[in-house]
Amino acid sequence: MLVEKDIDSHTKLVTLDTQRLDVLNAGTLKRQIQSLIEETPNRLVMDFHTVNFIDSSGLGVLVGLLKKAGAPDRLVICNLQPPIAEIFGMTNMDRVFSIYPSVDEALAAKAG
Amino acid sequence: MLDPLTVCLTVDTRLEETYKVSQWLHTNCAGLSPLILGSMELATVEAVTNIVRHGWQNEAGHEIELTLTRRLNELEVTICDRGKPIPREAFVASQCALDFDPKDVSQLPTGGLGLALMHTVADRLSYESVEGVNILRLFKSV
Repeated sequence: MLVEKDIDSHTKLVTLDTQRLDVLNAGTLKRQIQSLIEETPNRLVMDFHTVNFIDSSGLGVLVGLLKKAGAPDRLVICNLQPPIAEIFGMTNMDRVFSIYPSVDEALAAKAG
Repeated sequence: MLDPLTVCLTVDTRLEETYKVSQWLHTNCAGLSPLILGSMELATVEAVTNIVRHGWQNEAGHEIELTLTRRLNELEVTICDRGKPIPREAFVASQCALDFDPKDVSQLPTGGLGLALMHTVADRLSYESVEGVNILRLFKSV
């Protein structure tokens, strides 16, 4: 469900290999990302470009993972498709998470 | 703007059927704004998920009937089932579930968001339970 890439010793990029993050697979994502949060010392960047549907289970798991990460800049989201960005906006989740338009911008923000 | 149309779909009380519901909406709303379709898809999937998990406690073998009505300026999805109805207090309380402080991570909700999402992404909705049949209507302007 995830494609992982180490950017440097502190940052890992994970691309979601699914079009839907929903009640059927949110639990699997939770387990996989929880492990990565424990392994990654600083920052996890999640690339959502493949995802075109997210439901309350998906959002709930993301919030739970953010709580585990401890701070918004430790679990970063990027590349949201417009319908997904709309859902994040309507639910105020765009104010909860650090969200960037692209992977490059998410990775560059680290230096800033 | 799409031509008026009414289509029906019956699915079983299994979470896997939510994918079928999504496909049905996309097939019958092709050409509609992805933002509007995405909102209606989310509200409808949440409704079906809620029926499966809470109305039937994940017991398969029961029907959920959906009707999509396309009007010139509005979409309506009606969802009927015969499971345990949504308690009125839960339905009302869910309207406030997304009123949180986004900066207070520890207080953010991780569950019970389904009804709240329906209220948020649909323009309006109604719910009634009459003689054992629960009827949820979701509306979205186009």
